[in-house]
Amino acid sequence: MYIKNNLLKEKVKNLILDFSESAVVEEKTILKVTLEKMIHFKIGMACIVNKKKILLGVITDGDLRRKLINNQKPWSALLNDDVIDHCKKKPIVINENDNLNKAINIIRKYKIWDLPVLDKNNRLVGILHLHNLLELIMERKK
Amino acid sequence: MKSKIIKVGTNKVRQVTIGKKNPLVFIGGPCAIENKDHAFYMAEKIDKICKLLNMPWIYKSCYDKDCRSSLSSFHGVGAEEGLRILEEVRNEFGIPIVSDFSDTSDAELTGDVCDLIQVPAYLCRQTSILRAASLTGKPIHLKKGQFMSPWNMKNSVRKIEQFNNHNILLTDRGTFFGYNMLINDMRSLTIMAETGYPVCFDATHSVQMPTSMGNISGGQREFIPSLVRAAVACGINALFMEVHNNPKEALSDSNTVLDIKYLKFILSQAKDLHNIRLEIQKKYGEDNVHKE
Repeated sequence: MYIKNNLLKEKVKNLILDFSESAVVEEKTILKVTLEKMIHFKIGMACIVNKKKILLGVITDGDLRRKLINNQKPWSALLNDDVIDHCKKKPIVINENDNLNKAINIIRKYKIWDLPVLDKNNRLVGILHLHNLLELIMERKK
Repeated sequence: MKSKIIKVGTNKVRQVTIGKKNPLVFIGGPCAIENKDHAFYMAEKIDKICKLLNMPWIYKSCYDKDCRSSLSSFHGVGAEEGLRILEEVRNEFGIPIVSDFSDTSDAELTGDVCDLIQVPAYLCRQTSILRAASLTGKPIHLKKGQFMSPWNMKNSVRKIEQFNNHNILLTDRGTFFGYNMLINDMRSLTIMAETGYPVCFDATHSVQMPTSMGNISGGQREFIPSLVRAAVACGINALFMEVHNNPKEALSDSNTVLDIKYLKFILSQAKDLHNIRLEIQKKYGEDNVHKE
């Protein structure tokens, strides 16, 4: 009950991973470098932004799984492609001032692990990662 | 990717526009500058043919042949003399000039004279060369290394862009197919065009058989016409061919340079095919077959 009444009212921005903790790349970053960042941060999603940090798209482990069986070009060519050519252009997002209840509902509805978090000007401020959400819930339960 | 055009030549020369729906541009001349008389002779001959065909063109010749297999091969007349001759050709005929450099210390001087700066295929990944070429401020003729995949050329393009030069012409000159042999993958033209920059086909180097004759390169120039037709049909923006009035006596690439007596024959076909391709594009639209 505590979780429901208090934690879920907290704002998303209190739980986000910022740029130093998540894979955020510019549109002309090649896929190989993007994957390296995802591996480094152990996050299954990379956010693609322009110089003003406006979110242009995301690429996820799921997208890459689909590439794995559908890709026809040589892997060396695919890895050298710009990430913008392979990302999802209209990703599901959440605003930093929305509450965690809304975030959880989106995550449940779309069966996703990560949500890009935007400010009021549609600039990316970080991502909401399911593990962090779970950790918070478990901590509060104690 | 939005297609770009590049403009080659300012001051006193006929400016050439390469890319999009502009006329096919010819880039050619003797591989190496042999002497002033020969350079003028070749420029005059080529200019006459290109004027007859109403074809924009750029004169190409090099002063430093640093990639020869043998020290006994002709190494070039050197930067000072070579660039002086090129400048005189430029002034006399009013045509833009392209040449390359293999040593960064020659870059600035080359940029002072030439309208287009060529990056040799073997050096297409060398950051110092790409930086020096970029800093001349002139458009860059970037040749795909025979060892490079076409998609990896984007890395060299990005380097040039980061050096703040955004006028690039990408050229295919064949890809190694085993030892001493090149092959043309025409897909490379389409792939390199995905960078947005205009693309060029180098027909005479494509028929080269690198160092196949012990310490010099051989070649099969009989394939030049068919390869030119294939490349133009693919959608190139410029055609590169080295030409000579007496290939057997040419001081560089004697096994691949095109005898000038064939130039009109080939350029006429290339021009016609280019125009037909533009008509087809107008009639049926851009290629739109989806990748996946």
